[in-house]
This record gives sequence, structure tokens and C-alpha cells, in this order.
Amino acid sequence: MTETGRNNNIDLNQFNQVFFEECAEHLAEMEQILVSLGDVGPDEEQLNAIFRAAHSIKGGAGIFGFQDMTVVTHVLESLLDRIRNHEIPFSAAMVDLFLEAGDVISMQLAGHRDGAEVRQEAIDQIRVRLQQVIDSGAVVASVDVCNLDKPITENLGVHPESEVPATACQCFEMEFRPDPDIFKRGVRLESLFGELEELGELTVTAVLPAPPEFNEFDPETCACCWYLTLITTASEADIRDIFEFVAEEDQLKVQAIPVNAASGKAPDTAVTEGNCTSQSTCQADSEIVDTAIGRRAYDKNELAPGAFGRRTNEGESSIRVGVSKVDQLINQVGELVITQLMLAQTAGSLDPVVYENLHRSLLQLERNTRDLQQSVMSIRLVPISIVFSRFPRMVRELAAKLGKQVELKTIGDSTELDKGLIEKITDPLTHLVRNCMDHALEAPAARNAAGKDPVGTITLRASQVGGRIVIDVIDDGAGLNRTKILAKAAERGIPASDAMSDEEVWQLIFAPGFSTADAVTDISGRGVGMDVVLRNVQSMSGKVNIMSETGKGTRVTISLPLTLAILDGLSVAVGDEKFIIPLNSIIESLQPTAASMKSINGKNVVHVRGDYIPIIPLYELFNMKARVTDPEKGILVLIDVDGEKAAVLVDALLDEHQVVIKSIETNYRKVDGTAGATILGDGRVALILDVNSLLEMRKLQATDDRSN
Amino acid sequence: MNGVRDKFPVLAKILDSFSGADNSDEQQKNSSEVSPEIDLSGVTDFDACGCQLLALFIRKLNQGGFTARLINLSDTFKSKIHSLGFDRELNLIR
Repeated sequence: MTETGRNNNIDLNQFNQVFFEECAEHLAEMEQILVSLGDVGPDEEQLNAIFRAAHSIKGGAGIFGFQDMTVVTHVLESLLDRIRNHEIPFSAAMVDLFLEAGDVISMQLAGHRDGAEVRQEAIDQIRVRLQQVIDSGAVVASVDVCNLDKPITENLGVHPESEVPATACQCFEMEFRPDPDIFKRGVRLESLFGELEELGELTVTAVLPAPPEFNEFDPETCACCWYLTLITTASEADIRDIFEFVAEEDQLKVQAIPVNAASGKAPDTAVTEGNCTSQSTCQADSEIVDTAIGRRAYDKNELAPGAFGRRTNEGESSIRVGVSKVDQLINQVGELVITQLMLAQTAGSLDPVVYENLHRSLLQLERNTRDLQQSVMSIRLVPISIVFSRFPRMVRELAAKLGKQVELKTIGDSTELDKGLIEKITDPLTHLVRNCMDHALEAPAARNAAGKDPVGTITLRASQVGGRIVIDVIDDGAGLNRTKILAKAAERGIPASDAMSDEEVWQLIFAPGFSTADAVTDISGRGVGMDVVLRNVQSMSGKVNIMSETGKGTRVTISLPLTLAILDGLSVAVGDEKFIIPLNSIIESLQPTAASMKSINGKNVVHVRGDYIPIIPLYELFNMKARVTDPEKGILVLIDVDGEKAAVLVDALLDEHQVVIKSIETNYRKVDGTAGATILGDGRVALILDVNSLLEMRKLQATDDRSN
Repeated sequence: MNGVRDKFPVLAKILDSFSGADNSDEQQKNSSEVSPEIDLSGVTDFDACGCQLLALFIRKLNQGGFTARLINLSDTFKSKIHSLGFDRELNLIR
């Protein structure tokens, strides 16, 4: 019981979160199917899937007490049922209406989840528009505002009496023995029984079968069972469907008994109030029952597993775990890897013959630790389809807005990527797709004139290449205009010349504020974007490459590391310190000869196969004492950052490691030129070099030297 | 459900006071005539969990020979108790 001012929802938050996540997934699934339809009507399976999504949202919302969310979903599923029964023909305009309905449900979801603003007029409008389709059989663009005043129940999808199939009245006796923690799960039995009551005449009797000792009783544990009697024309499947999210099969017994026989029959306990009433009562209430049945007639034939909101086996084979828990696990496994490395290093000094068993066990430990690390890392990997799935609708709407015909293809949807990267890659990809739509793809007439298919194609392709994920955004549009880009670069004072290779010219579009668009639209053309795309991708240790052919199209390739939590690196020594250089940026290492060393503007460079590459002495950059200051006596590690090369001078190369990245900022402060730190086998901390920022630091230092 | 854990010790204490009463023959004889009243005027909302706790409390009082009675129960609450099926357990049906 609750007293005034007490918050009744605190304990429900964790369960609400599950509903929010499931609801978002159902909405995404619904949207994905709807946008895939185009002008073609949905097949039976697609219609069922949309219906299932709407139905599951409604069911979950009802159980978790978000009654407002059931309003739109209810009318939506009524309409879908009519379409499924061929009572209302499907039309392309309905796709937009359903998408709008999805948006309204999303808005309601955001309202409950994030406290975002919920516009009641939008809810009322979509409800009325859906209802108008049910009533008239066609999509009506404008909303009859008079209908907004009607109570919701009047607008719900109640079939006209003449359409309701005459079904025999049945009496169902139910014994509901819920899970003991049903209260803790936040299930609202009032809503559950309320939904049953909508099916017909319901009597409910709660019984405490074996009351425990009061002092030993956990008040939040359910010790009750319920006997329910329902007189209805609905089927047993209808009833079980209502308990779908609440009761396992063995927790609900449903027995149908003829209405005549129902009279006077009592459950096992001394419950008499819960008995069925006579047939005359049933007939007297037939109007109510028929109305209820008409509303839920679509719930017939739902016995098949996975049908109409029923949970499939697939859903039960996974569990939801908070990202913070996974991160904690990854962190702990990282610590375990470090400990294992420490052990291996200590054991390395022990005689392998005398300590043969110890060495063998440590090898086994190393293998197991690596396997464990890989398994744990794979938990964070999620399919890129999560990102790809948002584009069909965007493309559909932009195509309509721009008057273009566009087909979106996705390849490699199941390619997995770190969850952190998935979140960060969404914006750059969105920008690239919008650019394709607005600039790259031509209008149908222009495509026809160029002898192309009037329908343009955008392909999103993801694949794993070694330890990296490669995402391509490919269009078959007009391609980049070299002349225009060079002219724009000259206009903006960006150094460029006709002698530049195509690849170098394409890189110019990454300059801040660069745009060759003739007109600025609300979609793109302001020149804000490609530089942001590049910056975002680089912040994920990724690279962007462009290939383009005039008249044939453009391919933008984003290459990302598989994960941000571990890194393959080369450990190098400088003085008494060790550093880690990411392997993916290393081209080669070499010991220069005196002949290959040159000095340009007072700075040392090394001549490697025709290129003069600047030398970055790490000891200078980090202001350290080094054992080697003469490049000829040290080692140069050649690195490549987006085509820009540099040679990092170190004392010695040590070993190749897979290191667990730790944040320095969290534990200390930002250190320029580093991307984090790791703990080595000897327990010492080694800084992981950020090659991008090393180059930046070198350039800054050069500028300072010049100005001094 | 939130309030039930707060209410539990209070109800347990009340039950103790009833069970700790003088169990003389005279008292036993009179106990059925004693009808404790449970005043629900301060309750603003409840759910099945709250109903269950109240039902158990009343059941224990019944076992001790006391027939408890709910007072200041609004029609809305009566309707809610009915819809949750607790009429009999809460002594609302005689």
C-alpha cells in the first residue's frame, strides 16, 4: 500500500528499462519492414510481423502501466487486422501513416523513458487518422477535428455488429499461480485482469492457499493464487495471449466448460464467487462480449510459436546485460592478462628444466587467458545492421523530397563492430548517405539522358578485413567533379594544383567548410560535414578513402579498428621508458645509414626509396633523457597517418604485444601525443603513442622554431 | 508495492500485541466479540501486493479469534479490491 507523496515507481525502473528497449526494437522492426515495402503491398508474413510488433508494444505497455501507449497501438493493430483479413485494401499511403504512427509511439516512449515532451495533439491526430482508415477504408489526409473530442473507446476498432462472427459463448475457468516474484517484476495485475475483463464477464477470486507465518513472510513475495472465471466468445488462445508476458505455461491452467455446466461448479477451494453464471447471463451480456470480441477478433489463431506477439525461442536464448557490466568484465579480464604477463615474465628467469611443469601450466594459462579475452571482447560486438537499419526510411523520405528515385542496398549487415564504435559511426554514415542523395545521385531525367537507369543506387557494404572493419558507401551517381573541386579550393585559398592526383584532389573535400554545391539545401551543401566525418572517423582510429569516377559514381571507404579496448602494438624503448606504437600505423623499421640522412631547414629527414621523411625524436617530444640521440645509432620506426609519413626515432625495438588500453585522463591527466596507457608484464606503465597527434606536435614544434 | 515493506513491521507489531493478549478462558470467549477496525482513510493507493499483505494480516487476526473489519474504505477502493479478487480474503463478503 502507498501513502500520500510516496513514489510508487522507484523499484519498477529496471523492469521499465527492459520494456523501453524491447519497445524500441519492435518500432525499429516495424519501420524496417514498412520502408522496405515501397509501392508494393506487404505479404502475409510482413503484415504479421508489423502486427506482432504493434501487438507486443501494446501488451508490454499495458503490463508496465503505460496505458497511454496502448491507445495508438490498439487502433493500429485493429487496422492491420482489417488489412490482413482483406476487409481494407492496402495502399502505399498507408505506409506513411503507419510510419507516422510509429513516430508517435516513439515520442510516447521517449516521454516515459527520457522525460521528453509528448504532444498530445499528435497522438490524437494519428489515432483519428488511423480510425478514419478503419471507418472509410482509405487514408484521409486531413484530420476531422470533431473526432478528436470523441472518447477513445468510441474510436477503437470495434467491428460493426453485423461483421462480428456469431461465436458460441464459452465459460473458461482459470487457475493462475504466478511466479513468487511477480510483484517485484512490477507486473500490474489490475491491468492484466482489466484486459481479461474486456473479453467478457469476469469474476476474480484471490486465495492465500497456505498462509505463511507473518513474521517469516516476505511482503513483496506473491503467495496468492487466483481463480478466474470468464464468460466469453473469445478463444483459449485469446486468454493465454493476455498472460503471455506474465505467466509461464505451467502457471496458468485454462479449462473451457460449457456454459450450462458452469453453473454451480466451484473450484477446489471454497471459492464460490468465482463460478460461471448462467447462459442467460451470458446472453444478457452478449452485447458487451460481442463488442469485446469484435475488438480482439484479430487475436485468433495465435497458437503458433512466435505468432502475433508470442515470444519466440530466439528471444529466450539471450539475456540483456548493461554495457557497464560488460565494460567492467573487459577491464577485469584486461587486468588478468596483465597478471598473466607478469607471471610469464617472472617465470622466464626460472630454469625451464627444473620448473618444466610450471612453464607448461603458464603456457596453458596464457592460452586460456587469450581465449577468455577474445570471448569477452566479442560480447561488446554488435551487428552493423543496427546502424544500417535506420537508412531505408531516411533514403525513402529524402528521395520523395528531392524527387529522385533511389534504391538502397545493404551488404554485410551481420558484420560485427564494437558497440562504442557503432554509436560513433552513425553520424558520419548518415552524413555520407545524405550527401549521396543530395549531390551524387542525379534526378531521373538526368540519369535517363546519361543513359543510366533512372533509379539510382546507394550501397552500404560492411566487411571485416583482418583486424579492421571496412564500411563502403557507394553510389552510382555523377561522381566527384575534379575541375569544380580544384576551382573551389583555389577560391578558398586551399593549396591545390592541376598536377595533383585524383586521390589528392578528392582529399580536398575534407577541408573545413568545403562545398561545391551550387545551392545550399536543408539536406546538405553548407560545407559542414565532410571535415566532421573525417574527424569523427579519425577519433575512432579510423581512416577515410575516396574513389570516384566521373559519370559512374563514388565510393567512400571508412576503415575502423575492430575494437577500441585492445590494440596490437610494438613496444619500443626510449631511455628508461617504454612506449607502445600501434601496429596498424607502422610501415617498417630501419636503421639509417649516414648517406640516407639529410638535413632540411635544420631538421633531420631520412631518405627512403625516393621519399624524404621527417624524423621525430621521441626523447625530444617528451623531454626525456635518451640513450640514443644519433639516428644512425638508433632505430627509425616509419609510420603512416592518412598518407603522411614520419620516422619515429627510438633506442630499440622490444616486442609485439596485444595491449589493453587504459585511460590516462581518468587516472591522471591528458598527455599530448598519447592515446592512453597500458600495464606491461613487468608491472610498469607504458604510454601508447597517438601517431596523429605526434605529427601535429611535430608540426607545432616546427612552426615555433621558425617563429623563434 | 513500495509501501509494503514499510508497513510490514507495524502490522507485525500489532499482531504481536493481539497474540500477546491475556489468553484466559474469559478472554478467549470474548475475543470473537472483539472486532478490530482497520482504518484505511490514510491510504491513497494500493496494488495486489498491498492487498495480499492486508489479507494475510486479517487471516492471522482471524486465526487468533479476531474478526477484523475495514473502515473508511472508498467505493473506488472497494471496486479495486473486487477487481483484484480480494473481497473474500479482506472480509468484504460476509
